[in-house]
Amino acid sequence: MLRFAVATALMFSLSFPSLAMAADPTPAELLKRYDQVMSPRTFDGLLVMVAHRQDDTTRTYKFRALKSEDDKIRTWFFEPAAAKGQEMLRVEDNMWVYMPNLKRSLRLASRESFQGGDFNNGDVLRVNYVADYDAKLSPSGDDKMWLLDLTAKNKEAAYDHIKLWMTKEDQQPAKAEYYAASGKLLRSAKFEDVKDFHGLKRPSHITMRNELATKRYSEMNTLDMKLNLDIPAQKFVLDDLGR
Amino acid sequence: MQLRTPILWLCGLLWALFGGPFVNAALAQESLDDLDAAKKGDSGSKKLTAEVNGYVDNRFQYAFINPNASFLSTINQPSIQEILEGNIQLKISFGAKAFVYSDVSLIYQNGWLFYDKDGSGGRTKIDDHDVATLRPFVVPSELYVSVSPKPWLNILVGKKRIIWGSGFAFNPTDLINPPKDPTDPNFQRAGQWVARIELPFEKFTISTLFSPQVLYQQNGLPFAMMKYPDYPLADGTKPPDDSYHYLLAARLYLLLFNTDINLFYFFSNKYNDSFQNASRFGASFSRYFFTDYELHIESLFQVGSGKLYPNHACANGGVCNPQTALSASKLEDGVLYPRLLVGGRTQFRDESTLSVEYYYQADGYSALEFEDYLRLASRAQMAGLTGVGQPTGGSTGAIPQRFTFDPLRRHYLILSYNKPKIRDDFAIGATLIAGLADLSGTLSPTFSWNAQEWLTLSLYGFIPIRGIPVGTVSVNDVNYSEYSLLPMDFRFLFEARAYY
Repeated sequence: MLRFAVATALMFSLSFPSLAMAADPTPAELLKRYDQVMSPRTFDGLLVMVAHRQDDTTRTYKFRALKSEDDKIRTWFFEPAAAKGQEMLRVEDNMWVYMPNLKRSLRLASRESFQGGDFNNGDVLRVNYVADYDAKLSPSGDDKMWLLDLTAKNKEAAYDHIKLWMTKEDQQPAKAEYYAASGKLLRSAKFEDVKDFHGLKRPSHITMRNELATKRYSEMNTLDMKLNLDIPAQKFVLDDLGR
Repeated sequence: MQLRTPILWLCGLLWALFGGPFVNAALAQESLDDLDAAKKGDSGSKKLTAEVNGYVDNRFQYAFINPNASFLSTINQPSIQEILEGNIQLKISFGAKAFVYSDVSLIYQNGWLFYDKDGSGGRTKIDDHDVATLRPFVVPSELYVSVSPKPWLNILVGKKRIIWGSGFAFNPTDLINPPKDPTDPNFQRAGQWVARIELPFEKFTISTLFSPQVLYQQNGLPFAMMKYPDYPLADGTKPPDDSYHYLLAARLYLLLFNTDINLFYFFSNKYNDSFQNASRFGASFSRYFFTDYELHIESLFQVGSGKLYPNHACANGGVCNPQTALSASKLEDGVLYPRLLVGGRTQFRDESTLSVEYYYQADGYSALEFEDYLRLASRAQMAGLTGVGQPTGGSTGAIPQRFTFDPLRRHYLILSYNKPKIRDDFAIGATLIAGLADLSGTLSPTFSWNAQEWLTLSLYGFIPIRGIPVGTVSVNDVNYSEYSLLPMDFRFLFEARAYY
């Protein structure tokens, strides 16, 4: 009887391998999940970035971020006073910054530093990993984690290579390492303190460590985030900056 | 210096009058509801709200005045100059569709330690005295109302600095605003009085603009625009000019293939130059290539030139009418004179930024015209005919600048380098402006320290480069280059700017 049961189970699993693996998401699904968690299709967020520097002092930036579709995002800076009135805009592969002191906008590159902290512009304004990276799964060395190896698909991607760990339990990002094309580790990140923002559970606290200047790191805290908004397209137009 | 306290009091008073009553909602920014509550009342109705910020800026400058460097007069050029600026930027929103914005600076300034030629190749100190461009004044850099009745329609009336071109240090298509100092781009904030209608769409924007020229103003506020009054001013002056001074502009912006493209059309009549009923065209382009390399092109096309050219006969001792010694003699010559700026910018891995720009103006002086210009200036001691090294602004409603890029000749190179974080909050930079016809130029190194989130301390240098004897012009056995005309050997400036 026991032999029969084992044989039946074995035959069943061989006949339907996809069912046997149903619990394991594909790399593409995990990447899509990362985008859904970290950069929902539309959102209105209030965030604070604290940059910790070599001399142990900090600089704090508070800003609002508004996102529409997959490739449009705009930010307004409220703090510090020196940055108040600055705005940033991304539309597709284009980024601009509006400088109130210059009374004009300038183009930006994706890989430039975001407000001089340890995030770069792409980390904040260009979170669209499905579009920017190819993914494959690697052994994570931790039963509770998936490890994704991401390779840039295009030159506009913020990094050439990323290792991204996501929790198996709720498929939240846990940590990441960001590499240059040479293989040099540039930055590492920790994703913590998962909170519910109007129905979306996501890490509210990200720590980005600069691996080239190890005393420097930046924290990004999400204070609030609203979802599923209907935002006029004109909010994402270059000429609207400064208004 | 005695006015420092009154200016701070005045800033405080402006804050208390206009800012304080409104800012309670804006200060509580711990959630999106706090931000939205600032725009709407509890019932969702429109609510008057305000945001206030600004800065107090102190600039102390020393220049080594050299009266023998050129034939330009130095008697109104102070060696020591103090500029104290209290700036307040107030934005009052009427719901989400309309706002009033003002960016006003109260400026106390003064200058001391003046020098003139001593007649034997040296310099002699002259008494401190009143200089009109060194008096305290008020600059409303921007003061406008903006209404967006529809997402695709914006109407703006007032004074605003509107820059459409893609140039970094300089914009040849900017026919509207007071020029900025490329070595100190944050300093000039003033715009021009305009009425603008803009139609922004997802991939393109159409802008139309009308700007009447300000002919007379007092304390930054105009009292004669577009046409001179029929009566003379209190000092008895009345220009023999009944024409209308204005500019009409139209612009089409396109975001195509990840490229910013602007097409411009200008129609002007005696607007800041001598062109009458003249059309000019322009275009600009800006795009990133190979991920990290920005390229921009900006050009202006005009038939004829509004520049003042020297009369060759006058310059060389011939008989001529002194009033036509320097005139816009190419205004109606029918020749196309393009102006073209091509530049690029990149940020390196260490976050330093390099910008390189080449500027060509077809109506710049040839070597002979430059020589004639110098001869005329030398003979008549026509100090002030050129903007080179002369303070501008103040009486024009703009912040007075120590240096304005108002090039005389045809080919120029502008290099800017900035390296942040040489140690956390310390940055260094330099701007080089070089005239390629005679390899003269200016070098402006900068060292700055963000001592606090709200405080920046900067040290600027300004060094004319006139020692390369290439392409110089000889007048009275002295070789001159364009930037050798600057009547100083060097200048340094210490700036402290506190934001609030």
